[in-house]
Amino acid sequence: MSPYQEKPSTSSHVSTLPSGASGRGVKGHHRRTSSLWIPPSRPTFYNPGESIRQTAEDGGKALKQLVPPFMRRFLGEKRERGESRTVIPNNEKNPPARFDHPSRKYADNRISTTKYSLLTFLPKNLFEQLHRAANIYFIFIIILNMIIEAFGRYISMLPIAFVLLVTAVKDAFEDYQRYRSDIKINHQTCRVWDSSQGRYRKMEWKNILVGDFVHLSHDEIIPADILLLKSSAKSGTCYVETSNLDGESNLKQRQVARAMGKYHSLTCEMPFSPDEFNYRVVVEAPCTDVYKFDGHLESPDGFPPIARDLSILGKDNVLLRGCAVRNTDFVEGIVLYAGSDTKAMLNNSGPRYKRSQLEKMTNWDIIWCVLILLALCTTGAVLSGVWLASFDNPLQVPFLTYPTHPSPTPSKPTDLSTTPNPAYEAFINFWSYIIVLQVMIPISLYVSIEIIKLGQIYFLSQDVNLYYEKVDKRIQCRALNIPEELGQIEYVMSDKTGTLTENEMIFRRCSVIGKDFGGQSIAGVEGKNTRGRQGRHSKDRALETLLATTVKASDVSSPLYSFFVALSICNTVVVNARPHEDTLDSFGDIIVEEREEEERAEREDKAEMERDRQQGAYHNVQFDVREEMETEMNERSTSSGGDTVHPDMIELSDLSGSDDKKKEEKKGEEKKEEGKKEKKGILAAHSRHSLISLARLQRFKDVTQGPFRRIMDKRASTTTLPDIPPPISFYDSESPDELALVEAAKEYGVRLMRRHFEEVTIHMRPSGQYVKYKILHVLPFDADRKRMSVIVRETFNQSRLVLLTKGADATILPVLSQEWSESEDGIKTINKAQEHLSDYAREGLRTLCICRRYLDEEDYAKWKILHEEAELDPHHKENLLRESFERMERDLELIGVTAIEDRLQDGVADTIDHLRRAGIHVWVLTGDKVETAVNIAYSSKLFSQSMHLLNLSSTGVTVVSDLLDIHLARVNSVEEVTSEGSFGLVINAVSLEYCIHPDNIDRFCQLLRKCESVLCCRATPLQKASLVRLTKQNLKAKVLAIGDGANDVSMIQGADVGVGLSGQEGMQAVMASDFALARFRFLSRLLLVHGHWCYHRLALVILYFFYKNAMFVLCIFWYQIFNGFSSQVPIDPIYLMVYNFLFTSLPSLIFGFLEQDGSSAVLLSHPILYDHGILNKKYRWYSFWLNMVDALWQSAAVYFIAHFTFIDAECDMWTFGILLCTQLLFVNSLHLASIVQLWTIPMVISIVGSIILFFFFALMYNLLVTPEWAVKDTPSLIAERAVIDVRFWLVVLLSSIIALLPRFIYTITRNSIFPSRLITAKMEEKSRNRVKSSTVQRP
Amino acid sequence: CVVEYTRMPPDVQHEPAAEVEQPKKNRPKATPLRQQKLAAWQPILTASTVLPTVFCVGIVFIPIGIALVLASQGVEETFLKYAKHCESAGVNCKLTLTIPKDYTGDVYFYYYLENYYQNHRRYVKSRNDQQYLGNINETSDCAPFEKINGVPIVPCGAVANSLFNDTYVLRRNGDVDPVPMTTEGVLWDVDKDRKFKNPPGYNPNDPPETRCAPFANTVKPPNWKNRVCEIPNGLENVDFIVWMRTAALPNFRKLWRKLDRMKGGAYANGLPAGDYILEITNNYPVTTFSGDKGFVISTTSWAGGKNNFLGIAYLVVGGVAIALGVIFVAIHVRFGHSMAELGNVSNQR
Repeated sequence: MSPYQEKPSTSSHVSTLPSGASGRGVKGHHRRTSSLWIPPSRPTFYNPGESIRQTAEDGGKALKQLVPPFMRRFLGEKRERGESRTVIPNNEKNPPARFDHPSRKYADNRISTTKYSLLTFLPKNLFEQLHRAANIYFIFIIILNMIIEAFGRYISMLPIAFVLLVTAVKDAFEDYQRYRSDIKINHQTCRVWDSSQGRYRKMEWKNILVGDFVHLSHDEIIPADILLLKSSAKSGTCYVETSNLDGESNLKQRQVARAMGKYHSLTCEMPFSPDEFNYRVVVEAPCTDVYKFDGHLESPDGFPPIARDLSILGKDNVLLRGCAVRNTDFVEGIVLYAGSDTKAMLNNSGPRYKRSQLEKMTNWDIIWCVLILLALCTTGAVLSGVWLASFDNPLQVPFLTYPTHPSPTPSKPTDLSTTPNPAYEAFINFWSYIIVLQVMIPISLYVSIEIIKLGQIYFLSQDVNLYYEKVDKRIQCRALNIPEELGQIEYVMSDKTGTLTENEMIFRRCSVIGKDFGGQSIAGVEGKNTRGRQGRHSKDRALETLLATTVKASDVSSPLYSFFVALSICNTVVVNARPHEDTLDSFGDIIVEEREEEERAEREDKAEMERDRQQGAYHNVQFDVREEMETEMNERSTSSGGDTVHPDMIELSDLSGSDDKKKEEKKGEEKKEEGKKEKKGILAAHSRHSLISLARLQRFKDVTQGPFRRIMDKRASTTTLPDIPPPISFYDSESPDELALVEAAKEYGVRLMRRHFEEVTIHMRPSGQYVKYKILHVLPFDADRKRMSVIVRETFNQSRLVLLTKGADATILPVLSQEWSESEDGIKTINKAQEHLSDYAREGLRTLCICRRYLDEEDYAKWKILHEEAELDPHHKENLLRESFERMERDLELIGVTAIEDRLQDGVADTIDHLRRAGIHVWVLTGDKVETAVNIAYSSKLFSQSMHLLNLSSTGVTVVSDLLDIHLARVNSVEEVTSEGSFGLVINAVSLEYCIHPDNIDRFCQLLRKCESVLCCRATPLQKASLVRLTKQNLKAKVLAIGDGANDVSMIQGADVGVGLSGQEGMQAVMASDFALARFRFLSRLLLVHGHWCYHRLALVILYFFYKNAMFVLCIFWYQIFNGFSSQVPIDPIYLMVYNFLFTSLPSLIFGFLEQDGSSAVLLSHPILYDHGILNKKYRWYSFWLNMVDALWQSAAVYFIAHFTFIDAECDMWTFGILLCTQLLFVNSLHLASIVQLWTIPMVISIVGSIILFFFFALMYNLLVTPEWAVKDTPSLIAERAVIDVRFWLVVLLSSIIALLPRFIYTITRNSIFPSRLITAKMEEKSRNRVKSSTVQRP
Repeated sequence: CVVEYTRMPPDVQHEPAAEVEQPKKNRPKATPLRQQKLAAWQPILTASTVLPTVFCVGIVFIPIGIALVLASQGVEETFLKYAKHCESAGVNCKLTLTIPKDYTGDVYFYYYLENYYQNHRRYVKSRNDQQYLGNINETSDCAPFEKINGVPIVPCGAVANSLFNDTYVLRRNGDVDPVPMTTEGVLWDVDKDRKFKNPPGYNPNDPPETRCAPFANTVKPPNWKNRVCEIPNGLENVDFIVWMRTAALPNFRKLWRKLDRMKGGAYANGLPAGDYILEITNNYPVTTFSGDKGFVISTTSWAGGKNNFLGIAYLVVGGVAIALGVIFVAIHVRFGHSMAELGNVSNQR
């Protein structure tokens, strides 16, 4: 019998504790299991050879994966598509060894996202690479060369070998990263039922099989697709967060299978052990649909059949891999799909590949290159035919290689190559030209661009100015191939909450009973609070007193009372006495409050440190402990939950007091006590509890990307103590607003103590009472209704039924009770409230209306029946529920308005100002209501006072159409008068639908283009995404979306560049993003500096590559005129092949990494310079052609200078070739030098080094070359002879100057006569520095 | 039990020391390279900044140009194209020529070919360097002159087959002895050493019968009159080696002989002025490709042969540079000052 089973109950942590827990000594409780047993991380069961066999098996699997899928079918591997699978639970008493377990036929939970294995890397990678268009071109050329042999057979393989090698190394590295992450995931552990031992054991994910039972604690990530069988909640529900799967961050409720209902009875609990599960689960074959699940339970033969209604399983019963268990102590379930069969893995479509605009333009120009190449080849080929035809008797021409009289090879008299035939000559030469001029298509460009981007990303991530010290985060670059897009952003779409603001909600003001509270104290608090971000609630004494009176008078019908009750309980905040506590530790042992001595000592050390650090805070903790203890004692006679608190502490409790003085006194007392306790070692016992949770939390920290969680001390939770959270309780909530409200209520003395599914307890400090409410229903928040409600029953007095609702004013005000709002009281309240609402909104506060409604028992009963029907309806559940909610949420009585402040992040206003001055349209898309949003817009400088605000918040196609006309007319009229006018547009998302109506969309876009700033209020995630799409498609602009929450994910993914803010709202936004920043203000540097640089560098490098290759090719082409268009190349093929990647690549790479056309200071102080990228100034459509023309000139200069120098003279081909090559290298290098604006040491070294390398290479090559190297006319010592000729150097010098002259003159003239803004800015900067240095020198 | 941790009152709040101690392990290193703040020179190319460079170019280039022109002028050259003249004369063709003044120093004799595409791809390709090193059976790549009826051609290939075979004798008018010429110094040593070798056993001084033994079982190229073993030095023949170094351009000269000044006499200091007769063995056909051939007698200078191109180009570029410099000065005067006063960057384009 396992210790687990002998436990009476596992349904909640409260009841798992031994009944005699209280009153025990310092050490607490007895041990349930030997903690000495530490299971191996990878369970090796009975057979020691198992691991060997498994390894062999894995090898086999790897081999199988080599075979393409369609082949596998022939090899006998059955796909189970379209069939169902029967999951047999792995709970036999004597299970078969796991390696030949029947469930092994299904995929186990090992995942592999790698593309290759060691074995398959070479063939697979080669195969994949050879698929790419560029490489196919290479291969084509090589094969062509095999036939035509324009170059040596092997030499022509050099470039592709290089490209393949570089790409392979890169791929291998990336795959290795994936492998590492797989390993990490596969080695995560969870607890799996070991039926042979009758207990859960810690096991690595990869070993989980279908049919295994797993046990998961709060916050744990679900390792596989699991059928929920047991939840710690009596109701049999549990919550999961599915954001990893679908991006929705709200918690989803999941239900245990109906057949398991007996284990979840509210009244009589039955412990569940996997042994008792004797059904089989029949499920459909794995499929990708996340929202679909079909299955049922079956009884095995010989067992009574299961009732049909109990056997049905739906998607609500299944926990999917990748989700996290939330707000539930633990769950248990059986694995249905594992590893690659899980929905998460089936839906994992690998990384996105974004193509930048520059790349797209490049691709067009590459097509031009192909056309140029074809034109050159055709011209050359035709002319070669013409040239041949010009000889009357080709057979007599000594340099035409046709056998003269008698045919030396009589066997092939018709051989085309031996008889002069211009057409054939032209045909052969065409292909030959393609080989010879292949560099026209800059294949090396792709590799170079990729390397440059990697380098840019590296430097980007190294920028210390994008590093946020407070959370120790630097910029994360998740997309590696779009840094230059950052330089071309025209529209920035920003989320508001959490992106522009801190997303730390602070309750500021409220309006109850027609009065505004808290208004005055804001200034005071803010004034004092220099740290700002941890600003306390501003407590309004008047309100507090008023509340105290009300509470003491037990005036439960008073709006004030209801207001605070609503703040406390109308939410989804869950109070956890501690982090969700599971009694099963990670090894599968039952947690008791004792540990091994050494382990404890170690932890105590930690705790001690912790405590020292938190000395000041600690008192409050203990105070609260006492208070809480009292609760526990009062509530339950049998100690159930408060197991760890020493009884000594209870004696200290003194519940009545709540004023600060008393607190102070107690603190002193506490301090003494603490000292005492420490001596006695009581504290160890006291902190035991928290320590356990600490350990747990630490573990979870790594895996959670959780919902919003606020620990009561923010300083501790957010920044300072990431590793060891303090011993505290938690309010868990999805929404920071709710937390703010709950905390505010607590400050005022109405404190949410405990929330169960059926009951909440609040503590009224003024009266010292505990008030309970039965929760009957929770009508959850959704984006359409924009409100949430709870239906509760009072547990005192008349046990009235109350509906408490909170929601946005727009959705609350229409559903107020007619009767009430027409009453005198109502009119007054509503008027006041509206007045306050607009006041608050003007201050930029987020407002919520709080309402209540007393329900008739009858009405409620009626509603309940309908509601339950709706809940059970399998088909129209969503609609019916919505209707049901609407039936309930009406006839409300407005009891108050809350105002919550969400502070702007530092530097937001400056950043937005910068972006706007850079010519970027900034849009803020928020879910807030118009007034709030507009205020934030002003304070964040999205709107300025001089701006004309246009409002677009009507509904109806025609109305919007008219509005658009009016606005456009206004914009045009203003523009006629002055060019200075700027416009801001406010859109209500409701009217968005009408704006994008086909009739309106054109004018809407026109208007959007005119508006510098756009504020879109009340936008849902989908609307945000559709705006992004609209901008991309209709405005044809580059969009950057920045957001921090799950609601921004679709927007971020849809944008050209997605930026995630790694804020507090989890990691979903970051996961979806291309770049992740820690603060919004980094955006301006990211765009204006790095974006500018990256764009500038890449644009110039790409053009340089085009120019460089074109010049090389044209130079060769000039030579064709003088060799009968025979496609002969004077330059030794080996230079030709390595020229691009040995002699000219490094400087261009360094240029791509380091070039700056302006320093970051210049770029930041002149945001307007960003228009380089927006207007695509560096890479226009004609830039390519300008460079081609330049290449034509330069190649002509290079060629003809050499030509005329050596015409009629004694000069052999290789000497001529090396001269040409040297000229090319010099001209190319100087050309690059002429565009370099930042001469750094690496730049100089790379250019000079490349030239030196060339000479070294040439000299060594010519020194060593022998006829065995298969180079025609072995160029022995050619280079040595060439460089000692003074003409060589004179030609190089002359051609360098002449070639660069036009570009040089153009640059100088433009810079001098029409200096660009950048030049002017730089000169200003320079002169300022000069002035500065001279003034420094003077004294 | 609910252990709760409330917020502390502000006065008790203090900066936790931990915040300072916390290791900032993600903080990027602040090296100049990583922060892209390397010490750098940032030239702004404007008329004023490049003025010195432009004038420098002018000042350097003009003297170079002058020197080059002078060097070219100093080269004495006599250039005779004889294809037309000798067309009717048959194989033995005589030409008279006058050397107007003494050619002092080394005097070089070239043959010249015009419109001769020795750089044609298929022509260039048709050779086998291995064979020329004495591996006489290697004939790959020599098509279409690799074998005749299965017997390897030596030397194989189109280049070898088309060997230029005019020969010249230069005689001073009235002299019996021709002007002494030598092959010494005509060849590059490296060619002799590394590229052309007779097969083992070949001795140039052997009588023709034995000399050809190492070349047994080979045939001569179709255009040749003799087998390779029968010409002086076999595969190491000077004319052959010179010919095999393919010319870069279709009009080229190849060094044929040097004046043998060692013999002393009248030619010790060079070629004296006077009338000469050039006796040409006119074998090589050039009319088939409307080409021309010629004979060149030339001295040389540090800047090569007689060619004014480079010198003039340098002078022109130097002149352009000076002119540009003047224009830039004008631009600087006209626009340079306003630039500093432009001030507001954002007011411009």
